Amino acid sequence: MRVLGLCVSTPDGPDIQDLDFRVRAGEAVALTSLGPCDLPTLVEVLSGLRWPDGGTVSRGDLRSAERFHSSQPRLRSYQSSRKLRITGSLVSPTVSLINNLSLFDNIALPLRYHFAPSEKVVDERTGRLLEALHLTSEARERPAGLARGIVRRTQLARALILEPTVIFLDSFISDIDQESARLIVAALREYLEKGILAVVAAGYDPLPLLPLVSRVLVLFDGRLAGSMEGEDLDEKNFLENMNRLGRRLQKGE
Amino acid sequence: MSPETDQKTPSGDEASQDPVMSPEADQRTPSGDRPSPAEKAAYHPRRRAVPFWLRPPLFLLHTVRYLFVLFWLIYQSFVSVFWERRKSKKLIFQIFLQQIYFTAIQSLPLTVLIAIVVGALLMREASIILPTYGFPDYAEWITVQLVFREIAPVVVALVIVARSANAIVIEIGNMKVNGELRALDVLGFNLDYFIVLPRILAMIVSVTTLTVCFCAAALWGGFWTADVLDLLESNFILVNLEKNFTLEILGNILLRAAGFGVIISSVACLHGLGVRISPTEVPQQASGGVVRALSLCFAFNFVVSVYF
Repeated sequence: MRVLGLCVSTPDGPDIQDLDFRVRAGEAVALTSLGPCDLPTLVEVLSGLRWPDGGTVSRGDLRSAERFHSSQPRLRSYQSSRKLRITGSLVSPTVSLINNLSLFDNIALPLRYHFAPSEKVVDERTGRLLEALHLTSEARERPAGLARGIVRRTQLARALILEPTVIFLDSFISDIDQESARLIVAALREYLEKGILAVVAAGYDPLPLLPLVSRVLVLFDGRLAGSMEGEDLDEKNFLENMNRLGRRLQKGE
Repeated sequence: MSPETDQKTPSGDEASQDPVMSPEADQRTPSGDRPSPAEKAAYHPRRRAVPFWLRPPLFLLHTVRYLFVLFWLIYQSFVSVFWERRKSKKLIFQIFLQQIYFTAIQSLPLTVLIAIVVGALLMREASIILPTYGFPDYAEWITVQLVFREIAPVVVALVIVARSANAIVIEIGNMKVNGELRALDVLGFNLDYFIVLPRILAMIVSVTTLTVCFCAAALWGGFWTADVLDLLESNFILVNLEKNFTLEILGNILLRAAGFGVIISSVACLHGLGVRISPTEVPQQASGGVVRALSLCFAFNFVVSVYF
């Protein structure tokens, strides 16, 4: 995914201006912010749910790049937006499960709707995800009354069932139990190691994401203020670097 | 084609029942979603009293806008068949069958009971009253016109509105409040195809089927009940009733039933989708939907009675 000169006007926080970055297959990037910033709106724009006010987001290789930008015609943008949601899944606490379906049916629902495969294929793919995220014992339960960690894992499984090229996480693992967070990170790392998925994770608290991501992009006042990778992502180094960056930005450097 | 943020709501008349919101409420909701023009229309800022002379034209304007939004919803749901032609029909068919079960099968006993009672009562009245006014030969004909052509579709529509329209509004409204519709939208589902269309088609089939069952139950069940209870005069004959039940009357009944099915389901879906963020809006939209559905059904019935 390539983001070029992205501009997004946001209701909460400063408008995002001239955001440029690239995420390759097999790479996980975290987006965080020092100070107020409407990260959920940014993630919705990156995932194709909203249209940017300026700039371009393109996904896929050079031959089949899907681009969307502010000047696209309305009908084309609507159709492109629907297609983008299949190739790139948004996973967020606000994208809830369907309450009168079991966890199995919730996970299988997008697959049944978009591709209508045989029930054997549905069982196989859903079973694999249930096993990877340790949800097999709760597969026939309904979401109401289940722990938040289980619900989040199910949301992730539902996003992964369509085998998207990129997954967008929005404040996804900062408020769940450690075991569920560990399972989610492990499942995503497996996909990343196969090189078939890219992950863009946004959150105000990027610490739980550090084991997963290879790069952290820091926004300040709506603009890209810094980037950390490699050894900077060690927890202790990361906190020191963030503090240092925060002090520099406050001084106006 | 509706963009993902284009949700549908009833007209601004409902605003008098809704919580009064400040002008700032026209901005984004706390969840960050920008309200669509139709949603904004459903919520008025605190407004000055409208002069009495201005109310009829405003009412007319709101009604026209409401009908436009309703027709647009029906149009989009049928057009979605083309746009979603590569998507699963099996899933839609399952929802369609589920809706037929809840709407038609579960309403059948009540409908048949009402049909027998109404049929027996009206046949008794027709067989006793009409001959005293010099119309002994017209008793069966008027009974057929009254019971089957006029009363059967309306009574079935009343039963369906009371049972199913309410349930559809509450179901879709709760899905909206719980974020399930947003989840489906995020996953690339076309809500007109997945939510609205199966309910419209199921309602058309259910209302039509129930109306036919009502007519059959009123005709034979009503006649035999009245006959066994010795409520009918000897001039009232079942064969004459059956002879007067022509294909033209059947066509008229089916036209009304199909129209009622489209109206009831589309109004219910529109009001369900009109719920925004608060659970307290669900009962408001449910009662508004019932009243609107009934009004439009009676208006449609009047037009068909006069012109067809």
